[in-house]
Amino acid sequence: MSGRAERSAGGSRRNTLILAAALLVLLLLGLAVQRYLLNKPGLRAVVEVNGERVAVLPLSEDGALTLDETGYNRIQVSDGAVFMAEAGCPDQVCVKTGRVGQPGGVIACLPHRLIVYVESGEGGTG
Amino acid sequence: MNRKTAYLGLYCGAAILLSYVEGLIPVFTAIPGMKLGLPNLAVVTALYFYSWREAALVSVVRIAVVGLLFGNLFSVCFSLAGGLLSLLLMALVKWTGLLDCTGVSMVGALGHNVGQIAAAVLLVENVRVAYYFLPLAITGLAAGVAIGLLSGMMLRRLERLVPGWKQRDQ
Repeated sequence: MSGRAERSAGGSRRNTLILAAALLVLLLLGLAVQRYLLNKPGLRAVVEVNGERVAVLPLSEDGALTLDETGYNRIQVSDGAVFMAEAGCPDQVCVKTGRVGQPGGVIACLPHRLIVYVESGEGGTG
Repeated sequence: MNRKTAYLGLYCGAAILLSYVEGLIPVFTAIPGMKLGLPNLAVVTALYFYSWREAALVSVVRIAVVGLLFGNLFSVCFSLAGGLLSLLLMALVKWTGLLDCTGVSMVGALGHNVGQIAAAVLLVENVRVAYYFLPLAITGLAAGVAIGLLSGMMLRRLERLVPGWKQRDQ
């Protein structure tokens, strides 16, 4: 496919290939960095609503937290990971996210403006 | 109603239908906002067949109608932010003539992801959502390339069906 066909699309196919390859490498590298950079012992799940920290749950202890300010959310910790057990939002993306146990991992319930993220560190609150 | 209006109506209708079909296909649901980007097939094709103005029209009409029919305020905001940035970048890249339509679509897909994540960060008031950007961008890159290839194929066939049509320069 060259000549007439290429003219109808405009621009250079070769440039596209180079850019696509470069971007792929860049993104994969970024993903690797994002996942393996923070790996200190002791993990906790931080719960933030509307940008404000509401609770911190250590992943070492099993437990659950129920919120109902911006909407119903039940956050649960078990076996070193946090997940959204139940939520009252229409799309249920937060529940479908599943278990998160790595630093940098995030569970987001956007309609309820709620974020749960995992970071390295000790301690917890209610 | 002139012919162009009718064709644009078809483009918009196609975009809306593609949006609906896209919603029926289950994609890795762990990442919010992960999509196949099917409606962009209509947008990119309109971008090359007409110009960025028509592409913008198709994009905005699609987002508005789908938002009213199936969406909520949040999804419309994300779609709009993504769609507008995507279109801006695509129009710019197309104007420079550096990339072919597959590349332009790829840039559009990435722009869409950046816009969506940026809107999410602002709406939820938490930078942490940006964590989703990298996996989203990787699949977006692939989707953008696929849609771009399909667009190219469509445009080549349109060239045969609509003789005398040539690439219009901005």
